[in-house]
Amino acid sequence: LTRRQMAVWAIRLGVVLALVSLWIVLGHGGQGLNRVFPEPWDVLIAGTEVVDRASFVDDLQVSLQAILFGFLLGSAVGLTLGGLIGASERATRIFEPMLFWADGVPKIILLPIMILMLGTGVTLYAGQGALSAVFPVAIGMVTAVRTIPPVYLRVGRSFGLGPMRMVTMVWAPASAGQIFTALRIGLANAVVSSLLAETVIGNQGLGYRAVRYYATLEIPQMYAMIILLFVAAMLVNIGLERVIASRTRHFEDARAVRG
Amino acid sequence: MVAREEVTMSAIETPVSAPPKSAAAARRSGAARVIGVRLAVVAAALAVVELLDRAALLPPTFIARPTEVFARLWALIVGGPFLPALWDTTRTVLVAVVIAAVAGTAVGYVLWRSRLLSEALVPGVAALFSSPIILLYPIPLVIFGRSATAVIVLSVTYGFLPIILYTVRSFSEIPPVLLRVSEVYCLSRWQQFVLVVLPAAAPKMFTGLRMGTTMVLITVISMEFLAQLSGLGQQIQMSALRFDTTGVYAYITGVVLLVVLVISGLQVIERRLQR
Repeated sequence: LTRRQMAVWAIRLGVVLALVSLWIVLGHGGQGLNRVFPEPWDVLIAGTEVVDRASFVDDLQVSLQAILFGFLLGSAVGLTLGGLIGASERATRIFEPMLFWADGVPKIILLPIMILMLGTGVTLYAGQGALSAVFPVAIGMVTAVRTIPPVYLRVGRSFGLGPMRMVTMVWAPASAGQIFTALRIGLANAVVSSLLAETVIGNQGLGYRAVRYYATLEIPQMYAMIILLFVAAMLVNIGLERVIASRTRHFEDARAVRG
Repeated sequence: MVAREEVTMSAIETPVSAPPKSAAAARRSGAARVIGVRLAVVAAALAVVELLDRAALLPPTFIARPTEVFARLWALIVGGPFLPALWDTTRTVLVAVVIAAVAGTAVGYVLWRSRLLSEALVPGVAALFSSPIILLYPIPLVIFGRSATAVIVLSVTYGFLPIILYTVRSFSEIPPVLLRVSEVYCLSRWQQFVLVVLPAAAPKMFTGLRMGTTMVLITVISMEFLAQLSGLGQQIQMSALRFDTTGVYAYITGVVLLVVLVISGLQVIERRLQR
């Protein structure tokens, strides 16, 4: 580590320590604040206890199932929709802003209608996840299709590739970086929406469990579960971002050279 | 000379009844056509739902007739609780946006001034921005209770991250000559900030403000819905609890229109600023 890198890490550590210290000070402020701001150590112990409980594996299974189905359904619809819109310049001009508007609507407010359609339970959570994944994936797909360097398409055509081979050999690899990025955002949205739906209705899933701890005033357990979910979702997002960036670098470099 | 003659000739030959369209006019008419097509597509989709519903081909439990939804929305606007709820939501959004903008700009300025701080903290801010902060919503509810403060705290947390990132980026892209001129004129730090830095960076900073405002709007409505506090989010939840499907659709339509209005309005301002 160079001196500068050490200074950088010292600052990061300092910020974290300052926040934790503030939390501890607030917890010792009296007037029952220790219930609202439990000791960080208690939250850590509660975290191990929460993971050890029998319900954790069942909840994890439900949440993962909902996230996976929601993401797969949402991204399938999003990729198709985005591909159809992106294939035409006129369709892009008309529909792309509508995709942005739809993406801007908080999907949680559609929950009452989704409950009427899908009932409560894992289907609902998956439906909410799908709804949140569709639009970012579609937006990314439109961008991916519209920004393929025309020379790639001309080369494909000059080699006499049919529509199927054009898709698999030219379109897909050329837009892989943007498509994977869109899928990553879609997955992140599916995670958040499924878990949020669990916090509102039903009696299963990690989101439900976090709110259950809140209702039964098991505050350290609630903090532990929420922090666990937050950190897990953040790490998945960042991890995928790095993997995608490293795996698709050569395509992006080729685009940059063309650009 | 030839070019001038060609211009003159073409001007003479152009019939008086059909004056040449300027590029701006052509752009405007093209944009109007696109908006017309969009409206037609939405109207056609709603007409299909209406016809299918009238033909009893859709389950009435979760589909409301578009005509009834718009009639209800109008009734809610004219004499119902829509406008007070809209005001509640707007007020919370405005307060949160102002706090996020001031705090985000201040933090962004500090990070821009210190390269070491920027190197240490900007990656963390970027990572937080792409994190599911909304999942933390029970925490402000525990700390501040079911109050507007809880909504504002969470929405500010979400909204001020893009403002920080775009402030640092926009300040870093200010031409160094402007900063040197301010030094030559011996401006104080505050004068340099107000007279040089802010005006030079404003167009690009607005992108951060637009993203922050959108995040705040989404978070406020989501929190109102989740915690049943006040505003449009709470009205949707209350209509759902009364099994008033038409009411749910009417409020959702209102929220969609609000989101479209805010997003498009901010995009128009951003384009004008960056032109």
